[in-house]
Amino acid sequence: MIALNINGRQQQVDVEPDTPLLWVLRDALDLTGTKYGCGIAQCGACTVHLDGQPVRACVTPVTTAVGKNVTTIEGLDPRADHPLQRAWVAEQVPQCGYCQSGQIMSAAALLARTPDPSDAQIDDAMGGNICRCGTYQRIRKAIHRAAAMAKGGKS
Amino acid sequence: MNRLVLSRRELLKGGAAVGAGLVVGFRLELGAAHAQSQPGVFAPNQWLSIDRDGQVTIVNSVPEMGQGTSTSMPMIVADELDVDLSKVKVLQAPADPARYANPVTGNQSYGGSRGIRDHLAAWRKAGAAGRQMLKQAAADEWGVPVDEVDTEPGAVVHKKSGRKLLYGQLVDKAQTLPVPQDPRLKTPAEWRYIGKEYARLDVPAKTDGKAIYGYDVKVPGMLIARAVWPWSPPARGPRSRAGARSRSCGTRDRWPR
Repeated sequence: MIALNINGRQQQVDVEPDTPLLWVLRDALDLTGTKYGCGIAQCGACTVHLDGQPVRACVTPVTTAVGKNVTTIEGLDPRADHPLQRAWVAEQVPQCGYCQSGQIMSAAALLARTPDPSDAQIDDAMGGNICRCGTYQRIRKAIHRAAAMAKGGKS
Repeated sequence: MNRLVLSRRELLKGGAAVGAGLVVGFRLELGAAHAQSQPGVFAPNQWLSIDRDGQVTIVNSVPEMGQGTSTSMPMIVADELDVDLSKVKVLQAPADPARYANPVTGNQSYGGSRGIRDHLAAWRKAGAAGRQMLKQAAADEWGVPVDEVDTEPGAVVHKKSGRKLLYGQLVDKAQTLPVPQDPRLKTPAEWRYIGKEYARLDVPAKTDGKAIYGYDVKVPGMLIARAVWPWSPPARGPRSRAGARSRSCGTRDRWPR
């Protein structure tokens, strides 16, 4: 058994130690908000946080997460009311939506270290998250909107 | 019911055939003499139902793939039915071609922007038929001609006498009425939702991980397969590594053995 801290809860999982964290989340813990895209850390759909840092869960062995705090899209905000989530709805960002959990998790890590990012900083931080629907312009707008909300500006 | 097996080619024969195809599809599904529904639920057709509490449920029969049909479909039905879209419960139709096949193609697969194009007429009629039956039910209740009554979102009103009945109060009566095959449709000037912008209903679930995609579904007894690749070529496959621990962690079997 492997002990994990997922979204603030202690969990025990019976998986092989080299199982990618993605499949532990999805198959063992039913946290299906984190998506499988490419399996080789090239698309960003599986992005989660390890101690606040964005990682690609598809290439992160579950043992890497032991002793760290894992945060998934389900745990980003207890009421799904994170400024980014509100901004995503306000800007109507998703189309098919498949990549958006990963987009939001990458954006959340960006805002945590850079509360008011420039376009260039957004492009730099979000460059590893691919969206086949091409929602990039709305993602950028929504990140700016969330940054403004967090500062107590427009909502 | 054998109309359902008409090929698209047959439906497309002749000038007005596509329109005729839509009508056929509609007639097929709404052709019953009376609304088919369980007690206390008014369900004049497969796309909408109203219960005694006034809860309106609209069933979207086109898969949501990000194109927005799970919003635009209920917009169309809610408009013709005259209900507040923000209070409508939207369900996704099950795989059931007998009830939910595209009336033009005859099957339940979608693409090529067919959703609205192929269903607009049928969905408008579906909503309008429901509204007409509710109006008739209220007119009967009040003993007034049906053309004296009108609707506002979720209710039938008789302006002359200032009377009003909520849709939920009319469920049992409306249920006994025949389903009109050619209900009066709203004019564009009367549209509340059609042709307007409305925030997509599928977006919130696509920001918090709750949206369900095909491979998110688990069924009882489902097993999960895992491919174990060799670390580097050439290799004899994962046998030596995976095989050694294949019975651990609840693993049921392995291939090759």
